[in-house]
Amino acid sequence: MNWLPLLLSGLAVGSIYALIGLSLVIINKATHVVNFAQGEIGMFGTFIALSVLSATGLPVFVVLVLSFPIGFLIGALLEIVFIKPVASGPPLNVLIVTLGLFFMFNSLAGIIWGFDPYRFPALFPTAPIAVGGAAVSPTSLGIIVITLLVMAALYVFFEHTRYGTAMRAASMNPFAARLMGIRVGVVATVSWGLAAGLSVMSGILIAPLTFVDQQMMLAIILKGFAGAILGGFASLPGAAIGCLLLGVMEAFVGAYVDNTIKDSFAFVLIIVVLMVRPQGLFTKALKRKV
Amino acid sequence: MKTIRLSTLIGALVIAAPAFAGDPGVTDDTIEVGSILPLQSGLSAGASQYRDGIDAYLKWVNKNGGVNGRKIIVHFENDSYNPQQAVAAAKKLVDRDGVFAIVGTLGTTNTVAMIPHLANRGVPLIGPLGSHPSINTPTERIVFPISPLGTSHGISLAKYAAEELGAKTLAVFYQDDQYGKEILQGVEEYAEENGLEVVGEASYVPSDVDVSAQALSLRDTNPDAVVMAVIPKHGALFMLEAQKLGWDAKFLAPQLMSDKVSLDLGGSALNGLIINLYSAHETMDTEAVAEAKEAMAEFAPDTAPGYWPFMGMSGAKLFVTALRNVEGEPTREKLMDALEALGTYDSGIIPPVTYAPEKHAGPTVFGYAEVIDGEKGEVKVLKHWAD
Repeated sequence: MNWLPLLLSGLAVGSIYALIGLSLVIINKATHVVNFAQGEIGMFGTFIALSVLSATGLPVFVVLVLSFPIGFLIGALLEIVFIKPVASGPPLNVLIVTLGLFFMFNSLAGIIWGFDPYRFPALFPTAPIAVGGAAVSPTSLGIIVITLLVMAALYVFFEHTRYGTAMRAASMNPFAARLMGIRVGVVATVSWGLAAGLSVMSGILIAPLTFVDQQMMLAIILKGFAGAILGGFASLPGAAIGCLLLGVMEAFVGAYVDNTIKDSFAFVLIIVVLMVRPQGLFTKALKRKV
Repeated sequence: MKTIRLSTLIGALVIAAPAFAGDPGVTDDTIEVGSILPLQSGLSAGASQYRDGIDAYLKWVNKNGGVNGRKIIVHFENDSYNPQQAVAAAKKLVDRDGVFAIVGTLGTTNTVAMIPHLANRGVPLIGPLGSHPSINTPTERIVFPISPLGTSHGISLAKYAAEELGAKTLAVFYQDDQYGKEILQGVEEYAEENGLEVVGEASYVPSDVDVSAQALSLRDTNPDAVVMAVIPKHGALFMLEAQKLGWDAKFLAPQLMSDKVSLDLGGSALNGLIINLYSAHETMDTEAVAEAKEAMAEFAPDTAPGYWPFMGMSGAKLFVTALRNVEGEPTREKLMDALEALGTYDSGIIPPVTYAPEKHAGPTVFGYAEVIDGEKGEVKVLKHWAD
């Protein structure tokens, strides 16, 4: 079997995991919880995008670009309506609210759009192209390129803009950030918006490959979470690389070992990594001074 | 004295009551039955059409005078394709609503879960659609199947590949569960007995989002034909991958892969796909299909006639046929006796079933069809099961 299409296919799926993994890390940095509803927000946004496509006939790339602000609005509204009121309570309360949001979006999608899968228009040509003597899917290449662009944009935002720096400051030390005049509450809202925008984009990128249905993000959120932990949940680049690695490992284990063990293989490997390197593969361990 | 007379009267009524009371769900002018379907689940598209098939047929029967003067009333319950909900729905219908029989269930695990309760209460289950020995070759007398054994599917598809397409080597893409493995087993059995070689096998699990690795690995085995034991979503994903690879082998799959959802998802990637038929196709020119389409047009005009409504209708038709043969007051025992007296029975909308005291079996013969244009939903029948 030619390894190049397999590698690209794994990187493409890993890219989707990475977008979800990044959104989980962004929310975790801002509000110190794991948002279990992240995948369902992506699924819901993808259904909205499909409805917009059907109703308006807009080009699918325009809808992909619009998906970020649509997702941002959903995420920001959720933070203001559901998370802010419970944010001052124990972290478990927020966690339970995200579980509630998971079921709310899951059921709502079923009620509005039904439980059947739908075809989503292709973002890229479907005919394979020859790369290095192998037939490679343009969809895989496209997903990888878009994800890399999104990652680069995130890097520029967090490292080279005042608001990005403020967000990092708010996540490291909210008290000091407040003293410096940063509105930490608004940072949380923006983080939820940013994360939801990424989730909806990931939903739209994967939809032409896997169809749109109420279940479409269930496996992806788990893998995104696992990949982020593999790379390091405290670091955006670490989480992204962990997710890409997970996607590639899955593809090769599925093809060369046994497809039925690829899910368990991924999680067993993560358990081993956590035992040996609890902070993840690509981050430094945090040391606390006492 | 008055007290003694009253006591005697009450005693006599209590003793005589069983002689007058029919089984639950039966009145002088109605018979109430239940149906338990995954109306809110990944199978909901099929389930709602399945429901419409049952409902349309029973309404059509009622319009034409009912069964021996009684109208049939059907209560539908949702089980969300969840075994616990399926058992709860069965208990509700049987113990609270008091239905006479269950006509139509859809799905394997949910149906298997409810069978013990129905058997315990002696409630006939007519028309369960699933893939498990306790459904397709049941040991419980109450179960009257309408679907073939999984291995029969595998055999029918491998046989077509060998005899009609001239295939010598086969590959199998299958769902890694009872449904997929039974079809795989059928293919392997047929191949071994008839000198074919199974050169590749690849599986998926329903949570898989990418089947490109399986498509690549099977293509590399270079089979003459590929048998798919799949559900619509993953079958369509696999065919789309095959289309991307420019893979020109012959592909075969159970009839499920030609339903509307599959055709919508797969589009032109499904062109040339061979399917086995274990329900009528709407283009068949037979009296039974015409009657089924007439019922659908009148009582479920928004649902197109096809695989799912016909499968649902088949259970309802078997129920009505047997009920018509019951002499005197209908009881569950008499209904099961009447069903077992049908022998090998061809309803015209599914291939013949065989119900006898020692054997309850779904269809064992198949027709075949080919997807001509997946984008337009065009499917051509190649062979009727009776040919």
